[in-house]
Amino acid sequence: MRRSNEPLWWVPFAGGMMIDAMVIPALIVITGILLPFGIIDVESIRQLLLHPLTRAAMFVIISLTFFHAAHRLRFALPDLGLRALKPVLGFILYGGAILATLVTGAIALQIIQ
Amino acid sequence: MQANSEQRKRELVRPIPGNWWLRRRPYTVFMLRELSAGFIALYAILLFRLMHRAPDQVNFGLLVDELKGPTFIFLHLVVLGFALLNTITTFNLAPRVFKLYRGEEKVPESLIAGAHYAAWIVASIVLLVIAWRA
Repeated sequence: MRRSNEPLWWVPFAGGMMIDAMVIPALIVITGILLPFGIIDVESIRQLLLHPLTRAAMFVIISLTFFHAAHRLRFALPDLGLRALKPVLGFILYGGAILATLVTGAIALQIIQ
Repeated sequence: MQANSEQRKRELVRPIPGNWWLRRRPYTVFMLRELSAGFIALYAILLFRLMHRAPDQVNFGLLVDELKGPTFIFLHLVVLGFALLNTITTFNLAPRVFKLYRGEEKVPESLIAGAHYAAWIVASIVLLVIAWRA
């Protein structure tokens, strides 16, 4: 029997699902209401985003969010009728999540600008 | 032999219309939940852009100006709906994932879900306070 690589993808998926459930609504309130309507100071948010701890947290949230989406869309898109994509979808979506993680990590560490 | 079994497999696949998930409410909620992850990922691109532009004050200000436009406000509302759907369905499902026992007794599902909601409220308040006091 071919060994499944499912558990490998399940860990970042479940982590992403939980972290998204916990933090995304509040982050949307911050970036969608508080920041654009001037309720919080733009410059202090910018300073906050320069702090290493904030960047580390942003990296974790962004990366796990992509793994969460990759895993869900891998099954949802064929169910929506894109059955022809099924053989390559895992490669595209998980590959995209891995690439996004590398780029986000490099941006968070300010290795690339 | 190979070709024959391939052929038989193809015959057995019943075509399912792409809109099957719109026909019953539970299917619709299921599919919207699956798609919610995609919308949250689009939002993660904005988080990425904010972090990316933070070192440059002018560029960061330009992005914040973009956020004031009706497009971004509309998109935020859409993503907020999907994010809340993900939050609610994840927490309601949590008791099925974490089955806890206190001695012989099973911890009630409502308590496990409730603990997740409580943690969510605390986490949200902490994030808002951090943003507020930054």
